Amino acid sequence: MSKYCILFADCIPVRGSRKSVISDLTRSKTYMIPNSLYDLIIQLSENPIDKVKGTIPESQYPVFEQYIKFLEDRELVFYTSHPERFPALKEQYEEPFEISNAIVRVDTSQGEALMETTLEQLEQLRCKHLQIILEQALSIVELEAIAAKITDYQFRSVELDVPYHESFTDESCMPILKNNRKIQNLVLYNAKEDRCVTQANFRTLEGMSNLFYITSGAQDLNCGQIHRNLFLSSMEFVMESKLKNNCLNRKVSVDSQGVIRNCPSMSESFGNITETSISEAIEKPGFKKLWDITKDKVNVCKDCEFRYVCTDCRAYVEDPADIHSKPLKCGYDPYKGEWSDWTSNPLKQKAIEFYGMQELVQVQETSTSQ
Amino acid sequence: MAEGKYSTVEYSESDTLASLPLYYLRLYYMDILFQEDKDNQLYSECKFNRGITYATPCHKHISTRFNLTKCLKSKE
Amino acid sequence: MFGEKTSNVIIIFCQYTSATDGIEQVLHWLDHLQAPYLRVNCDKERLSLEYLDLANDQIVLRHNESTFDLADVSAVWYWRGGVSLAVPQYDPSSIVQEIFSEDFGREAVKNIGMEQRTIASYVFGKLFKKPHINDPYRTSVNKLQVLEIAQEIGLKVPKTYLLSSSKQIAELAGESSDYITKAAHEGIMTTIGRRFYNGLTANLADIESTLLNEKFHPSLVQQCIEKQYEIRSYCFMDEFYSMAIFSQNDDTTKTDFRAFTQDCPNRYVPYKLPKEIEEKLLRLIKRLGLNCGSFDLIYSAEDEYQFLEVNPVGQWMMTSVPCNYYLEKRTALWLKENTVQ
Repeated sequence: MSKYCILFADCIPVRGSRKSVISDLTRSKTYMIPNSLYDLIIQLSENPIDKVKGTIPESQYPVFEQYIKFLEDRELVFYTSHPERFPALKEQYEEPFEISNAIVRVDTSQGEALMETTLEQLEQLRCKHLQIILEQALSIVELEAIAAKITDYQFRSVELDVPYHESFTDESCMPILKNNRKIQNLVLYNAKEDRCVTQANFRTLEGMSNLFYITSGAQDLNCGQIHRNLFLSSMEFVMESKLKNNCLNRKVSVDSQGVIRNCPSMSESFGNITETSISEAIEKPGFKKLWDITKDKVNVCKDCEFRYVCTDCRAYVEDPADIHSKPLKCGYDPYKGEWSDWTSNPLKQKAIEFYGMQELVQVQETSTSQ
Repeated sequence: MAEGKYSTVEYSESDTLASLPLYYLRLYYMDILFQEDKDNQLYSECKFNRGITYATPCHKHISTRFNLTKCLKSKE
Repeated sequence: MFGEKTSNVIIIFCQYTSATDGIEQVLHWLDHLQAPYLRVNCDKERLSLEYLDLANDQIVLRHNESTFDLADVSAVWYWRGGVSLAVPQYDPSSIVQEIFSEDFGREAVKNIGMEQRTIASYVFGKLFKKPHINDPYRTSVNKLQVLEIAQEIGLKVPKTYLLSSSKQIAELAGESSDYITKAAHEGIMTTIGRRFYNGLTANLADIESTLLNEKFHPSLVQQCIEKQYEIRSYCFMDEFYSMAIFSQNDDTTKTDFRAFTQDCPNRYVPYKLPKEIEEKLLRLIKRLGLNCGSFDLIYSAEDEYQFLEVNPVGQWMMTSVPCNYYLEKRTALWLKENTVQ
């Protein structure tokens, strides 16, 4: 019987304009491959390997063998006489609850009542993951108390962002992570260095919870970064990317004044939590309007090989007048297959000015030139 | 969490050996490294369904205001 | 958790710690579907009988502070734990002893035990006549008997023996193929101190010959089938959700895929069994009186499906998650649809 050489279903090939990738969802890896290999993979999925080889001129055999070896060495393919018994993964992404992740900004100088209301409501909505940004400096004792309070809510994971203070050291902060295992990341922003301390934490991402010292600030204008090392190659993420906007879907944000938005970087408000509950706000017309903008519907991104593993941003886009334009902070050109610094791209200067990011961009330029 | 091994269990008495099914002579075991995790904050009682619930990481970046991965990678 | 009067209740028998089994996800979906359910954590609590009227076919059960009528139960899901009714909190032996004698007390304990079992088996018998997933009285099957039935139905099964002496093993060694040994019931699985033991399938060749006694406990020995891949197939209400497991690339998982390594996880991919195999498996499951089950098969180097075993209350999350089947939603929908009478 003729043998087929096919990709495992958890290895997803994606073709871009100039280059392609294979995302290995089980092993969390994304391999960059030439488009010719992508085309070969498609041929191999439909025809026996001998037949495919027969269509290739003999002079190309070494390349063909090299390609097959690449796929075999990384355990991306297997051989079978019955490809029909190996269906593709069904493209499905569902969650039982409307809101899965939330960003909450807290101004502790105004007391904690607003935060408590917000977290209680999020808990009732069964929101699973929380990023909480504390805007005011606080002492280690206050931080401990707030961490313990947040841990009491029914979230699955929490990222706690706090302004750096000199009294925050590995010794004083690591116990907070140890005592509150739901806190996956404790981020000290406006720090003097960029550094990470990791603690083994069974059952959390990569088996770790992390203490980060980050030099940058926590302002919303900083968000929407697009970077290779932010790529995620997992079943849930790729499925969500294919079917929904992978950033905004099932997200809600509440700022330190109580304003409810889909995302903190967006201007449109859907009420204030002091008057409108989160569950009312998310049902208002327009709250979910961007949730269906998948990468396949975004200009340029739709031709990019990274479209299902890359984060999206609809808050800061290249052409603020066109909600389908690509994320402003992306420096990749899929038509050339090259990365460049987005801040110096002349086409983006208008948008940078529109969003008032000139200062931010200058800071980035100085730090990259160091 | 742990490293799995096949052990050759040391049974000294031949009476013991005679009373064991063969598969006992090659048992798979794992040593749990973080035992303390079993009884603290890794899981908590769920308010909604009378069972326990586990801490699990988010499958996506909730926001990208910090490029934490960059920091994580540079450490390696 | 209930109001005054709740109808269409789904009863779920599981354990307090069942979160990792996917129970939690199913309950989330039930919450989303607004389907009322009652979770009985069998490791911590029991249902108790309040009242039974045979003529009017009425049974009232108590769960903690609330009571409910059996007629209002629309579906039942048995997952884990022993089902029995709550027993009174006093010890009958000491009380009866005071009145009668010590010997009478002993007899009374036995007798009252049977009394309770009679009531429980009637009540749970009635409960599990409702639309249900799994059956607490059929949580375990006899592996040997299952292999016999599978063979009768026309499924291929590996050559299987029960051996009790090293001489018999030596005779097997004369044949060409490899052999494995595993539990005839279920492999021992327990955590002692910080060590978790799991009685997985072992290759006979890997057992140290010095340990092989002349005589030993009768042990299940099976011809080792050289595999292209393993198959886990979860059968839920006559539908098959199958998964192929490729573990051959890694020596640690050659005999039992559950002994995987973190660095190089096995491949778990969606799979479609040929219709003919699905039909045979369905016949097998019906013969065993089950409505759900998780099958283990091997697709051999000889291109044959070899049936290994069926787990009546089988793990389904391990198939659902990597294959993106959303069985947690499917399960919740099934439980809910049966709540509409």
